[in-house]
Amino acid sequence: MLGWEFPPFVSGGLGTHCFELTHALSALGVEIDFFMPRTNYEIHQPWLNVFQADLNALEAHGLQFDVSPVTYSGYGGASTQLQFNSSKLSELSQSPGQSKSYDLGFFEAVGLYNHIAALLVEKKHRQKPYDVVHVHDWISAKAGSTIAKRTGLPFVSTVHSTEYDRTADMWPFDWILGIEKEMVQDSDQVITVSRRSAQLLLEKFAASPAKVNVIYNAIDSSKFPKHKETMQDGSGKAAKVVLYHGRLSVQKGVEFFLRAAQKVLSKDRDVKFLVSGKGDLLPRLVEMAFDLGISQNVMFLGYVSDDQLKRILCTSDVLVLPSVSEPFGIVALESMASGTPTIVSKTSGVSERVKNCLKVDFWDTDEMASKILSILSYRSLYEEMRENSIVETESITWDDVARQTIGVYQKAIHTKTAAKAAMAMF
Amino acid sequence: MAKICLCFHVHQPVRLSRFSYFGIGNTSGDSASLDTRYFDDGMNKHYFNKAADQCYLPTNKILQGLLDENRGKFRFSLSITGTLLMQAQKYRPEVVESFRNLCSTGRVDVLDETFYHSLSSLYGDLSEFSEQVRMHNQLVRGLLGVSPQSFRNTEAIYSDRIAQAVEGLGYKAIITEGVDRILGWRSPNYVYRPQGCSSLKLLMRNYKLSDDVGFRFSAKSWKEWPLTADKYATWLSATPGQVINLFMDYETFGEHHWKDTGILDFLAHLPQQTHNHSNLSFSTITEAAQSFEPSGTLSVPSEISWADAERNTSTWLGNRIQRACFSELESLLPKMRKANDPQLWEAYRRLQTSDHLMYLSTKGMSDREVHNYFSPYKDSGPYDNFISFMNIIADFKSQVEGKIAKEQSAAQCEISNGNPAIEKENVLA
Repeated sequence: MLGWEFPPFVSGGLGTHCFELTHALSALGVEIDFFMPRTNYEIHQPWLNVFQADLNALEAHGLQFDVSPVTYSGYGGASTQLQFNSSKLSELSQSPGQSKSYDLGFFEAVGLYNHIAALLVEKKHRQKPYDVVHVHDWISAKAGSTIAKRTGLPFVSTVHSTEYDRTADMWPFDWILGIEKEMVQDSDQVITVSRRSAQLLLEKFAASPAKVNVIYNAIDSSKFPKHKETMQDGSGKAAKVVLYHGRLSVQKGVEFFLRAAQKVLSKDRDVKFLVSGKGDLLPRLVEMAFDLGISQNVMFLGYVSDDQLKRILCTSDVLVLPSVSEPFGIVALESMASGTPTIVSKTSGVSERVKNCLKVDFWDTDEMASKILSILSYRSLYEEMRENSIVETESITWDDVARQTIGVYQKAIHTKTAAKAAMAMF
Repeated sequence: MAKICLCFHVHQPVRLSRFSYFGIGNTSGDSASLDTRYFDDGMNKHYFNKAADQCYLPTNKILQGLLDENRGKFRFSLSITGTLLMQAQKYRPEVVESFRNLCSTGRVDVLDETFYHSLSSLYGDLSEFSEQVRMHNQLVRGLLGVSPQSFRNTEAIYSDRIAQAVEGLGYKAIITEGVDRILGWRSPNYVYRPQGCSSLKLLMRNYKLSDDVGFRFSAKSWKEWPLTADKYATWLSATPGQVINLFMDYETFGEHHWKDTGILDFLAHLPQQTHNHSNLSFSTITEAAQSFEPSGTLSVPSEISWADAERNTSTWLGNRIQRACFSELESLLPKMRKANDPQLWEAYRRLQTSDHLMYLSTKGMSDREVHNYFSPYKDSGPYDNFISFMNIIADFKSQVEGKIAKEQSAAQCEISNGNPAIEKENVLA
C-alpha cells in the first residue's frame, strides 16, 4: 500500500484512513507493507511494515538512483505559482532535513518519491511477491501505475478527493488532474468514498462504471469521549457552542457557516461559534466576521490536533459541515461519535451514509440557521439526535470497510487474471 | 356460521407546511389565516386527488356494484376520519357523494372516532377526546346521513380506560387489534367485554387474515402469491369462531397495491366466492356485536394499537421528540379554553392528527420503511419534521397567547370605560 501520511504524521483524513484501514485489514489476515515519503517521525505499528521512501532507503536496499526518473506529462514550470493545500508536504519539501531528503521543489519531491517508492516496491516484490498494489490519492499514483506496468500486479487506487473537490472546481490545476485521470484509467479497480465522488470520476475522468466501487469511511467510535462539558463565556455564564472544524478553504463553505451564524445571533446572542482549523481563507474569514458584526461571538482556533478536537467536540452543542463540495467529510462521523448533533451539507459524501444528522443545502443559510437554532432550543431534539448519533456511529466500523476493500482486491485480481487470459489467447 | 366483518379505514391527514424557526411569532403578512400558515394546501390537494383517483372513486364504484348486486347479503363497515371528509368536500365533492351513496343502501355501517384522527384519548383530561368524537358524529350524520353506533379509536389505540370512556359516550361496540399478548390462548374471532364495562362489546381485528390482503397481497415472495378470492374465501371458511374482523386500510385497494396487482378484481370477486361457503355471511360491526354475547372479559391496562411489531403507541410516542410535541399540544388545552377562538380551535385540532407524530418516528430500518412509505416529506427525515412541527407549535402558542392578551386588555378597557369609579380608584391607587 502506498500513501503519503500515516500517524503520527497527519495533516488530513488520509493518514487516519490508512491507519484504521491497515489495522482492520491486518485483523482479517492481510499482510501490509506501507510506503510513504520520508518524515521526521519513526513510525512503527505492529500490524504493518512502514517504509519511508527516500534515497537512504534506496541505498539500504542496494538500489541505485537511475537517471530516468518517473516523468509527468504536462509538467511545466507552474509549480512556483501554485498555492498548494497539502501544507505538511510542502513544509517537508522545504525543510533542510537530513542529508538526502527531498531538498527540492514540491513537485520534484513528489516525482522523486514516486520514483523511489516504485523501485523499492519492485525490488521487494521480487523477493516476496505481493498480491495487490493499492495507492491512495494522486501523490502516490505514478508509483502505482509504474509498479503495475512493470510487475503486472493488480492495481487498486482509492480516490479520497480530486483536484475538482479541493478547488471547488475553481481553477483546478491541470497537471494534478492529469495524474488523477491517469491513475483512474490505469487502475484495475477504483475505490471512492461516496456516490457523489464516484459520479465525478465517471463524468470528469471517463472512468468505466464497472471498476468504480463506493466504500464509505468509518469511525472507531470508542476513541471519542461521549460526555459533555459546558463552555463558559467571559462572565461565567454557560454558552451554547456551534463548531466548524476543517480546512479554511472555499471548498469547505466556511463563509456560509459565518452567514448562518449572523442569522442565529439575530435570535439568540448567547451562542459562540468556533472556527477550528487553518487555511488560506483565514484572513478573509476574520474580516468577514467583523463585517457581519459578529466577531464578538466567533472564535478562530487555528490548528487543532486530533486530541484537542475530541475535547472541543465535548463542549460543542452542534457541529456544522457546510462544505460546497466534500467527497466524504469524516469530521461529521467524529462529531456524531462524540454525541454532538451534526448538520451536514447535502453536497457531502457523508450525507449519503448517515441518517441521524440534519442535511441542508450549503447555500441555504436561512435553513442552516433555523436548524442550528432548533437544536439549541429544543432539548428533546438535542437529546434524541445525540443518543441516536452515538448508536449509529457504533455500527459504522473499519472492519466493514476492510471487508469491502478485500472484496475490491479480489475483484482486481480477478479482472487482472481475466485480462491476462484474454491476452494469452492472441 | 361465522360473520365476516369487512371494515375499511379511510383517512387523510391535513399535512403541515414547512415552518422555519424564523417564522415563529413573525406575524407580518397574512396572519388572519392559520389555515395557510400551517397547512400545505398544494400538497394536501395533490395527495387527495391521487388517492381519490386511484382508490376512493374506483373502489367505491366496485363496492356500490356489490351492494346493488348482492341485495342485502353484502354488508360492511367504514371508518372515515373527519379530516378526510373535510378535504373531500374541499377538493373532490364527488368523493363525499359516492360515500353517501354507499351509506344510503342501509347496508353500510359507519364507525365513529375522533374527527381529527388524534391521540386525544391519551390525554389526562378526556373532555377534548369527547368533543372530537361528538364533532365526528355530527359530521357523519350531516354528510353521510347515517348515525354511527359503534366506535373505533385512532389507529385502533385501545385500553380499559378508553373503552370505559367510549361506553360512557353511548356506543354499542368498539373494535381494536387482536393483539396476541392480550388474547393469550383466546381467539380474536369472538365478541368480548372490556374490563370495567357493562354493555360495550369488544371486537378484535384478525391481523393475520387482514394483513394477508393489506400487506402481503402483492408480495411475489409470499408463498401464497397470487392470492385469489377463491383461495381466500376457503381460508375464511376454515377459520373457527363467530366473527372474523377484516379491518384494513382503504388505500389497500389501488394505492398500496396498484390496480395491476389484481387487488380490485380480488375485492370484486370476494362476495361471490364467500357465498359459495354456506358457513359464511357478511355483517357490519354493529350487527355482529348485537348478534353475539361476550365470550369473556378482556383486560387491557396499557394501550395497544394495530401499528408496527410492538402493537403499542410507540409509533407516535416512541421517542423524545414525539413525546415533546405531544405534551406541548396537550398542555395548551387550558390556554385554548381561555382564548376560545373558533379559528384557533380548528388549527389546534388539526395539529393533533396522529400522522404528524408518526413522521417523527426514529425506529429501526424495518419499521422506518413503513413510515417512509406514508411520509409526504420526501427529502426529510424525522428530525426535519420535528423542527418544522415544533416551530409551528411554538408559533401557534404565541398566537394563542396573543389572543388571550388581546381579550384581557379589551376586557380591561371595557371595565375601565364602563365604570369611571374603578378608573378613579386605579388612579388613586
